[in-house]
Amino acid sequence: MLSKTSVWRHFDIWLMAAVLLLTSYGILMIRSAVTGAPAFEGLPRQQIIWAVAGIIISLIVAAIDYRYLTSSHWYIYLGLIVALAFVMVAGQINNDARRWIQVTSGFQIQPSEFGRIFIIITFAQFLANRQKYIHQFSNTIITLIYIGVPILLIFIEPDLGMSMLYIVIWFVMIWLAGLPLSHFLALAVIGMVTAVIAYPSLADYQKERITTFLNPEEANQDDIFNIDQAEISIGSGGLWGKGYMQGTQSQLGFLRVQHTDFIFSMITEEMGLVFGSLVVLSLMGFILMRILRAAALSPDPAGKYICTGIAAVLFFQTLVSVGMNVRLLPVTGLTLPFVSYGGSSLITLFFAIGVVQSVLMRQRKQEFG
Amino acid sequence: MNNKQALNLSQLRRLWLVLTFVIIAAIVIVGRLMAFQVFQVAPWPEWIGGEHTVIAQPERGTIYDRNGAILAANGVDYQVSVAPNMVTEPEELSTALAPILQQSRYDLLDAFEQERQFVMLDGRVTAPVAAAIDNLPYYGIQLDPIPRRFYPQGKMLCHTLGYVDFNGDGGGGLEGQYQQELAGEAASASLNDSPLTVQESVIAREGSDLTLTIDRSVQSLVEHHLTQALDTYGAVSGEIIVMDPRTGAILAMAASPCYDPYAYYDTEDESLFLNPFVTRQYEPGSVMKLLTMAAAIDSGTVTPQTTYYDAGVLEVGGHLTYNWDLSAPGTTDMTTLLARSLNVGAATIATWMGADTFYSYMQRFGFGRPTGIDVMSEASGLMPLPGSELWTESFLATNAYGQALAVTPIQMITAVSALANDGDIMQPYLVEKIGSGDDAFIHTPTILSRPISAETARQVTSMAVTAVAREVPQALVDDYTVAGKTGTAQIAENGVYLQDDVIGSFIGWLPADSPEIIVLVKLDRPETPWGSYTAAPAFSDLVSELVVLLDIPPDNVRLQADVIAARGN
Repeated sequence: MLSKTSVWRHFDIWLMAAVLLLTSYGILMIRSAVTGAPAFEGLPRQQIIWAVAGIIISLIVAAIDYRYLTSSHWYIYLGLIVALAFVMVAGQINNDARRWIQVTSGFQIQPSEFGRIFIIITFAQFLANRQKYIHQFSNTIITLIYIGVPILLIFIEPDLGMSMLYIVIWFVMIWLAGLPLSHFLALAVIGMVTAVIAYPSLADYQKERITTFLNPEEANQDDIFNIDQAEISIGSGGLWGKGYMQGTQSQLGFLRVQHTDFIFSMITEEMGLVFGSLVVLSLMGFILMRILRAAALSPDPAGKYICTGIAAVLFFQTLVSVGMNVRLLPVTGLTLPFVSYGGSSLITLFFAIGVVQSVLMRQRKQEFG
Repeated sequence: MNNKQALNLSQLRRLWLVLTFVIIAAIVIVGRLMAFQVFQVAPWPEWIGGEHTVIAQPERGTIYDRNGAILAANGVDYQVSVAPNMVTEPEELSTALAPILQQSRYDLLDAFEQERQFVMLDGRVTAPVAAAIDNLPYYGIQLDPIPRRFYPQGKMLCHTLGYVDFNGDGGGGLEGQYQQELAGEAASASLNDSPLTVQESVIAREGSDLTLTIDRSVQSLVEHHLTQALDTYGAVSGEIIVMDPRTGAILAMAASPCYDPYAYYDTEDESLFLNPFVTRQYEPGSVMKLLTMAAAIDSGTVTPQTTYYDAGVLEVGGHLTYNWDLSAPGTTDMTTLLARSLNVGAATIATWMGADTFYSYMQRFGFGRPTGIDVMSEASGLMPLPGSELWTESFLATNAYGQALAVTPIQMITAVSALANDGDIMQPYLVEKIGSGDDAFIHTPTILSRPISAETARQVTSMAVTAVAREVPQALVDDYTVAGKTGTAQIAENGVYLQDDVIGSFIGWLPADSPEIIVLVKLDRPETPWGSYTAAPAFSDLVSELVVLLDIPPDNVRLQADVIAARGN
């Protein structure tokens, strides 16, 4: 018993507090975002249920030694591939994209959402196992193939944002694992040369596809409207905001998908720079710091890679989501972690926090072992 | 110190590199936020104290007939414009739009290529055209509704209703007369932009509805008969007015030719906009003798039994008056004077009365000034009085049989209505009710003037009954006693009477012992010159159907009912 309590002594209460604070803030803002839209009125309550489930899941995962997960990494990897393949074959189509598996009527799961955490866990162990080959270029290629299979499956769903997220995961983790600079440069050069050689020989419509791929929804009038509204919302929020539930762009329905993709704009409109954007970004920064601290404290390479991978996911999603809201990056549809509405996303994030806690809590054992 | 072991130097360096990237990204994002939220924001007073103007436009009132049938209501046209930068398929759009808008495809393509936010394509199209445009599967066309007055009964009542121009201002008729009531009042207010202040609502005074004295069925019947009469007698234009002499209520008012009030701007002949009931003036002719006779009897100058000697010519003020058939009937009584419509007789009794008496009566009958009927642009007519430089002595004779003065149709029927209403002239009116509910204004019949006594009115009416029966049987209506008088007036153009063209008119009222309607039929330039052969039969045709529609019982039925009622008492 004593040894068990000592495990929980390393539970990062600050990390958990920051996550809960951010999630609660998100629920309050979802509440404001859906006001006046009867179809969405149940969403805040639903998000609370997801959050409670998430907390429980994160505590359970924290209690389990993460090395059970890493030791069975091949099974998890295969399971993920199978799930993504299943989506390809029998997935549910919403908004022209085949991303979901219909579990029951009214309940869908998105394997790529959960997959981003599982791929971090398996890839961490995969990297750790091949640590000694890190300087071989063939190893780099093998890791690319390893991550390339799920990326390909996700890319053809299609889900560009998520594919990019997986690439970021690969890069950050292998960078931490010690990817030689020469390999990185070689890959970059190969990529660019291929592009330059291939591009002129492409047909016009193929070129067009590539430009729309790089800047996916540039031509879409709805997105231009949304981005304009997001900018108006953020700009008019000013230092102190217009007040909770007082935003004109959000409450009058100019701002679309304001409970998911554009929640950051509505937060800044209503709460302003000080109580809105800075609160969200500081909390996220604090969470990232605590996760990187866990990475630094982790005794084994796999735990270290897991934590940095999770940090990379949180950072990249925040960057893209906020960047899209402030017109720095193209519209991709990635959500703001912990804040945006979404069950799959929230549960996955809490699961990830659970894994980070698990890594943290096992550091003492390593000392004795 | 375990941590140091766990993290080798290379990894630490790499972690710092990642952190550096994170920090740079954070700085960029926060910088962008600061730019949006702090530096680009307008200063506080500007967006807290800013104001914008809100204008609430009222809806124009509806015009109903006395039974609630809609005569004028609000419809919508559309303005068609294009936002060139929103057009995704200019070729297809211009091809589809060209036939609908009746514009050249190249002009449309030109418009689509302009570097502007907004290009007007057509200022006004009707709702079906707008629907056709709306159904096109291309982006970029904008349709904005603009109000337009709609007349469900088509051209019916055209001069009476008037029209509404594209600024929402009534032109002519009731639309013009009741512009203020119908249009309502737009409200505007400057409202603070700040969401923190309480927003007052801006409410316009809505336009009031009008309910007319006109009955749509009666009007339709009257218009039908007018068209028929014009056709039968080859007249170029004409008017019929049906009035209730007891109240002054106009039951029907028909004129031809008409303009289309919905598309009034397509009217090529501008003179059509002159309202023939109240604006256009004419010489009334012999109908005037009714009033000359009424004045003579009321003033005690003559009695119905008085006789005069008609030599066939009379000189007054150097002007020679002849009878219309150039006859010289000798000793003649007053009833025969009316029946045979003798100009010499009318001139004779006018000279017996003298100018003072004659003109004082004519003024009380309302000549020379507007009746005050509630229709826009009423003219006052022209009756020069002794003492004015336009008057000469001969006018006393010519006025007595309806020449050398100008009247409007409404003036004429209103004057004669004194004979049909025991000597009282009621204020003629068209609007029974303004608005609705408790706040509605309801017209109360009022007496405009009392030119003659009830006794005189009955005496002249009875003379007019005899006159019709003796000389104008074409005007008779089966089962009803009709009192009335024809008139054939010459048309003066540039101060000279035209040789061939005349205005034939007939004013009749019935039942003669207790009149319920008075009808003026006026036909301009018919092929047959005499009123007795044109306006009188048209009157008879119309009234024989009108009495059914208005539920006026035939004389014998009515008198029997009176007898039964009397016995019951």
